Amino acid sequence: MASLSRYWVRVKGTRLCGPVFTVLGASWLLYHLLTSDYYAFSGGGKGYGPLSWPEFALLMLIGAGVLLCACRGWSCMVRTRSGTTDAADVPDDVPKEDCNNRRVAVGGWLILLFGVGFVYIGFLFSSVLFLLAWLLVEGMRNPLKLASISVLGTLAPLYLLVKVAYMPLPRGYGPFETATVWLYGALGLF
Amino acid sequence: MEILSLLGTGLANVFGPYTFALLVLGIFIGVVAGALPGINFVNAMVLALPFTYVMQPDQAMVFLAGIYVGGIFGGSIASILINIPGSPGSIPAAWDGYPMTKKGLAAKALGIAIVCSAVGGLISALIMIFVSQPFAHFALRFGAPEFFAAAVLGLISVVAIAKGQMLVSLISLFLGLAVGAVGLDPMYGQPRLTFGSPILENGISFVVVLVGMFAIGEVLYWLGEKRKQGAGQIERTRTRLPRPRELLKLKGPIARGAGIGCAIGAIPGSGAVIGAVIAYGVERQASKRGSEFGTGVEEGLAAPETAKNATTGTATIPLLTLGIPGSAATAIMLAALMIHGIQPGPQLFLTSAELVYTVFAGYLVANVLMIVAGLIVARGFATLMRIPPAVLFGFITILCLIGAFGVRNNIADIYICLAFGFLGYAFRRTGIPVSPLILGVILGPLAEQYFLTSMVSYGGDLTVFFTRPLSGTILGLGGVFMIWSLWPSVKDWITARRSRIEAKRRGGGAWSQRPRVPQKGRSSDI
Repeated sequence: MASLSRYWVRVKGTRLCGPVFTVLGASWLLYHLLTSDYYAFSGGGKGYGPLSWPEFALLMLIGAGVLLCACRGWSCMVRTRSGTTDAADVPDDVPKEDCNNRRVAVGGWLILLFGVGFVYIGFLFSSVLFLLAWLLVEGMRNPLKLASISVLGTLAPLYLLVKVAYMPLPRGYGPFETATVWLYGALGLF
Repeated sequence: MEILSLLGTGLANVFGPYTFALLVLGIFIGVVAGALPGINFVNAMVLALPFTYVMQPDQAMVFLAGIYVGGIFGGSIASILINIPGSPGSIPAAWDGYPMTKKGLAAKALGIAIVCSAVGGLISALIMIFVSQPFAHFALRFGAPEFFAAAVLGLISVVAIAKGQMLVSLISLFLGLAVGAVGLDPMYGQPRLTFGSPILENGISFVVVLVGMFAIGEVLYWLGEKRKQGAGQIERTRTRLPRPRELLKLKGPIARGAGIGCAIGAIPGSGAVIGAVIAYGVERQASKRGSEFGTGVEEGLAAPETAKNATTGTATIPLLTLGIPGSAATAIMLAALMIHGIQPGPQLFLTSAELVYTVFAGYLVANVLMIVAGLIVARGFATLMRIPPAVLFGFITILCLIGAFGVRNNIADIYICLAFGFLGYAFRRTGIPVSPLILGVILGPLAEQYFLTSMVSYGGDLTVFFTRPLSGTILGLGGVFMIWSLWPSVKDWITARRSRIEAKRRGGGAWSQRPRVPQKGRSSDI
């Protein structure tokens, strides 16, 4: 396990993973583009058609990725051959790894669930629940503060957007839609 | 003299009580809408458009001009204070404005942004007043090749802002071009990179990408930062206008930014973002402190801020003189004119001269009042910063999803926003610049549309971009700009290579020498 971890650090230190995946991904997209049913290289009289621009962008992406791989590979080789640095020695311009990954993971999942809830249970319920969960995770414990921030913080944009700007925010599906419409009526939104 | 007389009439109209009140209201709406992440000032203009039905034509135009001028600036407040641009044109404000905030210079940064924006807008308004009519004849010579050249100029400016990460920035840019190409092509309606998905056939809106990568990405990045202090990290900020001596030190960036912004704004379709980015790139090369750009340098903030607002007046010139809106904002103003039965074009100066000069006067007054509005809104926004970050970022997340949904009332945009949010976070963690990707998404579709139009119009002849004098000049300027930007890196590489050869000749051998450590800001390590 320790040797795997050291190996991963060495691989990470070469900084080749990103460019390699970029080249592979762009190549696959280009392959998909060129083999699609609607591929028509000619257009406009001399070969500039609807697929020319994405083809150009993907080719340039592949070219830049290959060049970056070559440069970083060469740089890594020079560093290891000189014997003065390790391949895992990360240059100054890369942000240091000092990150609370657990918080990012929890927060990321909350945001993701909020996005899904925004669609399926509607803006009203999803925003209240998201704010509640978010503030709880961030350490707020006062029930009055939690309730007031979550509820008022949702009602304020709701009034502004639905009542003033007539923006049709998602109401959710099924019972959530019914409940949202009833609440809209109770709140005087329509 | 006739112009001054008409301008006087226009000013008298603007200072009428009802018109003035609408102008002030418009500026505040624009600044607030621009400052809120996820809410675009263009959305505010769209929402305000129906209200103009009941106004007189000059009042409607002055109201919308107020939102436009205020909104273009407003995005910088969020850029500087929380590193989340409120509008695409405010992206460069975050590059040096936010580092200034982190250094405790938020008040100074906001003051510089406010004053430089006002100066840029005033210069642009004056040019609009005195140059509109002659420009009408010149603007008729602009065609698709010239618009394509302008878009390419904007893309080339990415090279100038690469800061030693040339290849990584180019990868980000080309990825942005590819993302911008998703959906139906602008000429033939063919789906590209859609994988048969009707969601992707609608394309990917740059607003959704901007909100996702900057705002959601910033929220995730904030989550990951190890806490060094308690809640309310950003201290109370009072906006401080720069003293005359400080402004004099910035006269170079302001002059360059104003010139670039006015020139770029006059090209239909270019917009504030191209002007601001090019101004930043030029300033980085021209300034003595260019190598420090990105660490919180006043010049790095002053130039793009001036350029951004300098595009507003000149962007209105093609609208009024030719009836060609150069951006979404001016398109809404065109809609307002047509609602009132007014057809813009060369005849407008003859048939509705008073209306035209009232609009011009409105721009002049709006840029002055914007200083006051900017100070008030920035102070209010800074007060918001005293809210615990946890609460603030929770609301920012909600606003972002509302903003993403509100672009096209399309649920799929929410998922796309979240996907780009996580991508933006990954970019930040790995040191990949986000701005080139955004620029690629914004400018790519524009460039493609004008490219394809040019190819259809000129039989697929690529040389048309170089043989037409205007587009050839613009592309030539782009080439010069690129060489000028790349030269420091090339010089560093040549110097490093000479040192290695010299060391080898002295008898150490290249492999026994420790590789040269890259300098910050001018790294030759890519």
